[in-house]
Amino acid sequence: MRPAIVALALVAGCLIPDRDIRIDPGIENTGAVRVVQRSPSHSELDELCNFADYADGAGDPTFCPEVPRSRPSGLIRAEGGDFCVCPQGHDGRAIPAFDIYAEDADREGGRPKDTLYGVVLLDPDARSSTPYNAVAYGNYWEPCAAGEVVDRTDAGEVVEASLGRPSIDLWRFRIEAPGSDTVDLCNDNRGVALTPGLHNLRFMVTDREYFRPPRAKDDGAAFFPRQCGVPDLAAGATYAVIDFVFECRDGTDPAAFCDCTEEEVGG
Amino acid sequence: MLAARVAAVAIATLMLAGACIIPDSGIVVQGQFENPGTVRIVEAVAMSPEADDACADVSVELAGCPLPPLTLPFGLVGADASLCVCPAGDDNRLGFVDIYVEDPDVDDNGEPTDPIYGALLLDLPDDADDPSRFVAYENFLSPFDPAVRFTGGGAVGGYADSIARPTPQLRSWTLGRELGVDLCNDNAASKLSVGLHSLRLVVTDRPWYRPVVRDADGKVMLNDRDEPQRAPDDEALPGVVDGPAGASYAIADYVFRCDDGNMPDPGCACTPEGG
Repeated sequence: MRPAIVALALVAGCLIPDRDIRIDPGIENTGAVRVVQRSPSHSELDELCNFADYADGAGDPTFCPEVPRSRPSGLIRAEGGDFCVCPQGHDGRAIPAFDIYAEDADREGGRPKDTLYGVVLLDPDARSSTPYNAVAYGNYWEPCAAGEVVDRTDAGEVVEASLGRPSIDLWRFRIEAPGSDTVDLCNDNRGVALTPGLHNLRFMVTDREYFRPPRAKDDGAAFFPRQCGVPDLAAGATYAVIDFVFECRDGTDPAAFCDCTEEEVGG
Repeated sequence: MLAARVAAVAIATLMLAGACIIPDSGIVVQGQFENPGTVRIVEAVAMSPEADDACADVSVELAGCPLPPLTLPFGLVGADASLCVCPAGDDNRLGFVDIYVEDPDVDDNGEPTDPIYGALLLDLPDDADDPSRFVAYENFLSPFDPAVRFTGGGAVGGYADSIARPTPQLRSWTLGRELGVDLCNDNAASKLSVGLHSLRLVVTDRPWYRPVVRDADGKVMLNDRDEPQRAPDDEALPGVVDGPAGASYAIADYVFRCDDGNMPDPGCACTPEGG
């Protein structure tokens, strides 16, 4: 009788509840990419993140932001006046270099499964058949280049991953020109000035390499050039965007009160 | 005889236990995570004809790449026509605007589990103490009305047939379904100031943040799980994401200029008064 009981106990030990267990359907790209930035925060969240009386004076991490501070999307305003297209070539109000963050939940073996790639587009048109022609500011971000995985706490801020979600890798895209710590939006799109007016800088992130059209079989080369700004949806890519809008005033207009300089500031 | 029975039981046990050994590849243990999927704001982007051809080559059901329906793109609004502050209304106002969101969390029947809420914040300063005071255009988007399942465009070959990824659980709001969206003149019937404005959309998959409850000394009161006690639902702060409750969120922005409809010829198309 005893061996039978032992046997039953062993077999019963194999019974595991299926709650919280899901069978991976084998879909290639389960997690979609997202561009992330801090959510609009309430002062109470900031306070409890840093100090909570019920936590022996320590902060309560559940109230902390999940993402390092970065330039908020939307309207970019210059400090002390307007951005300008400058005949001299440089705007004294050029903004500091900045980071864009993105997440992708797909992991394998404790590492990111997907690499995230980014591109800057200027004034993109959703109806264009040549979206790659909107690629811009290659001097600040190499088109189609991969971002880098960073530690959320690298910036030295109090940042906590969400307690409600699995650990997700954070990717950073640094918008910065070599040897310079500023971004001259109105005068330096690869050295070319923009037209005065409102402009839309869009950063697109995708979790597959950007689309590259194949050549015909009888052609010599295997592929045409990669189309930066065209996510490879046929390969299962997902994509996400973040938009920054800014206005360039005419530097020759005295009413614009521009701050045009001969030399790049902070270069 | 006994030894033979023991051996038989041992063999049977090993066979049964062996059947319990299952490979762990393809099994995802969600564990304690109550909100594994994050909410996203999605919009169509331009595709090249070659990319559309590549999508069509993947499946005969696809005529091109599966994208959400085209709608007002985020970013700069009004590049085509001036939007104006007008004595009456603006004839250049936008038509209805669809906003698309998705959240991958579904139950065992494949039904979405998380409601998605959205709030529009007008000209939110970076250092605002209370974003809920900047909630705007509630006449177009109530922060407490969840997005509804998007059923349009459900024909074969649509966004639902996205390639090599789970079926997107697309949901939407439609702003200004009847009369369009007059950004410069109808922020809940209020007019905006002339100039540039930023309108931030915040969406989340949990109800909005509720402040903690404090005692007479200002100390945070705790509930029976030793967590901060929260104010009732009717004190929720729209636009403030409830991170402590495990909410995920997404952000997108519209930027537009309101010109002065009273100035001569700024390209405005003001509705004639009384018209």
